[in-house]
Amino acid sequence: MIWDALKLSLLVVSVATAIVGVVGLFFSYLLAKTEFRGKELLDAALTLPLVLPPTVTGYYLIVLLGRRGLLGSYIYELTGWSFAFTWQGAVVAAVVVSLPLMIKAARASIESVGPQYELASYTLGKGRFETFLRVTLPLAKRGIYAGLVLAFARALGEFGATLMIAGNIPGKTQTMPLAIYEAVASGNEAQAQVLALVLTAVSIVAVYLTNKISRTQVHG
Amino acid sequence: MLTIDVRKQFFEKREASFALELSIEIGEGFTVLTGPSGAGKTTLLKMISGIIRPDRGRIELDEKVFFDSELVIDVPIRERHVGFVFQDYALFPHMTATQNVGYGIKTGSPAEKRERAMEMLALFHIEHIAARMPREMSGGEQQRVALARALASEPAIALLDEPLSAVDVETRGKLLDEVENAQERTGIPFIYVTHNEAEAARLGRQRITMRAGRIVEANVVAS
Amino acid sequence: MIDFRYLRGMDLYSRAGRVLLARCVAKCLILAVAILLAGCGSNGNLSDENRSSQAGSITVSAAISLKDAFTEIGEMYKAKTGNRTTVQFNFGASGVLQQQIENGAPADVFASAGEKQMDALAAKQLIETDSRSDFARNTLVLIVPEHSDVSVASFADLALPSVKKIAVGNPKTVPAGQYAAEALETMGLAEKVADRLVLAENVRQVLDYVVRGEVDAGIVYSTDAKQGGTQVKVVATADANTHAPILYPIAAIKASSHIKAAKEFIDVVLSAEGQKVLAKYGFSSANSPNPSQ
Repeated sequence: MIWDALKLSLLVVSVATAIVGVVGLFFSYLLAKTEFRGKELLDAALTLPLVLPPTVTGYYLIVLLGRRGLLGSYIYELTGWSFAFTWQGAVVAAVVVSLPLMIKAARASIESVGPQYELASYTLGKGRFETFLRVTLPLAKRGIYAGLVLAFARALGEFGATLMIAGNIPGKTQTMPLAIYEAVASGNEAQAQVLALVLTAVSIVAVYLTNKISRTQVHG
Repeated sequence: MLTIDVRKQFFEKREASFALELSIEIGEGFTVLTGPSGAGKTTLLKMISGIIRPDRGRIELDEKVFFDSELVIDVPIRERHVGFVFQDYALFPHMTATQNVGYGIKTGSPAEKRERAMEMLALFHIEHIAARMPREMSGGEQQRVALARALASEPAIALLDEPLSAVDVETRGKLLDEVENAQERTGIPFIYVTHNEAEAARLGRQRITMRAGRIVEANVVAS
Repeated sequence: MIDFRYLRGMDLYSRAGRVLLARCVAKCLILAVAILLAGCGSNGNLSDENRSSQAGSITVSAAISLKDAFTEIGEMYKAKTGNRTTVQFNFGASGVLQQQIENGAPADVFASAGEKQMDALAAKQLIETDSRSDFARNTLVLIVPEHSDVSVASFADLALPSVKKIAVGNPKTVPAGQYAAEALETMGLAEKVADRLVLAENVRQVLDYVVRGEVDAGIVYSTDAKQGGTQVKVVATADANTHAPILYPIAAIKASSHIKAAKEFIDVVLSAEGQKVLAKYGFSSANSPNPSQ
């Protein structure tokens, strides 16, 4: 049970972090460097899962992606597949709750990159995307890494929303936080202890890394 | 030849708003743009390069239209090939001198680009700092790298925004020589902004003076 | 002696400064602990009643399948005490409730959906053994969502490839899940459906999954199916011999400070009126070998 939960957690969290990395960078850049109507609304919507109780987030995920959900019903009709009770559903839950953390950190970091560097890049003939990759990103590296580590840690500990959309099925969707819950609920002290220790160790490493990254020297 | 005919309204908090309005043709060679601080010199450079958009008007370089409010044309910065040396150089802090200079070179393999970058550095006598990062360079070295970088991208025109303002007086003289040489070698028009009279006097065969958003004096050779 | 003239700036690095700081911290801690202890001693508005023989409120931890029946019985009990004692219910999966009591949760009565959980408490000597009694019986049924395009007419149909998801309680903590697992095993279906099972945290969640159409079928008690009303269809009932008898035991918790009131509640549950309420919700009598409902 412990191994299953660990493997599942690692799978869900790595996929979720990868998605958060790409999607988070996109929105961070959008919010940091562009102006458009409704920008603050988008920011609020993306930040919402940060303050919403995870079970509320879970509820909305069910409403959206459940078999009879707003989107889920179409998916089910077309493919006979549903997000509910699958590890993919767990990934969605993890992404939704950890995305705001990544965006907050990355956006601040990107905003702090002086606009003169990007302008210089444009005058040297580079487009937006290349400038983002070669100038903005390297200079905003610290904040982006910190954001990723935070997102990773949050995804690893995600419980409420995961339980609701993905259920608690050992071997399929039972991530480590869910496994601990079950171990305690069924009186399995030994297992609960091991699981808790592993999760704590991972969290400590995450905190250590975040602090270390924040402390490294800044480029001019 | 650069043709500029623009108008832009500014809303300053401190003073009353002022309008920038000018119409000029700038030819080959070295052109000095002088005037007191706040006259709009940097703004003009930014409009030429595309960083700032005028409210109205037309900017054209050698028959290539950069901006035309009537025809609703506004060519993005990256397509204008206007070299820019910023006041604070804006060297990429995470790249070496060679990487900075080679950044804008468009053609060639990475090895070729590096070679051309090195040549450029040699032209300014700074090949010895090729592997250094900007924070490890002196003001004069940074200025040279900034100039080398702008010219390496083979622009059609080079804009220099008070490039020597941060450099000490002794180095200034030598750098001015190098800037002049660079212009002669590349043959492209240079527009050099300064509010320092001595510099302007030394450089300016062609000279434009601005004040409060308008050109008050122009001595240019149109070609 | 500490020269207080030099302490005005609260220099923390000087010895005197540190002493002063330590004293402040100690005082604050004592104050905080005092506040905490003061809160612990009393139990709100029951502080008087703790000492009297009549309790103001008792806590009943009961299996979630008993929710509707027990809520009504709770009202009945309250009326019988002349509105002096109310019942606080704690509904959940029997396994979880058992865990809570083992860990010292303040329950006065425990009603489980299976003997296993009560036996565990008895083994740890946590219940008043002479108060233990079986008070109801239930049956296991197979339900499907009201509007389902997957046709399931019997337990055997669960093995059909068109049935993609089946909800049952988590056998580790939910008695309904244990019975379901037993029944499926006896019917020879356990292996065939193993990878399609969706485990729920309690039997009402199984019902919820079926109601919402997240699964194609679910195994719940007949009493839960009744609560589901028209939103679910009962397609089959498990034979009583496919699983251990679904008997509900009830007992008073030894550590309770309201043992008398607890036993009175149990009496109400076992009384004719209590049994009538249970029957209303679909439970059968604990004594009948062949439940008719």
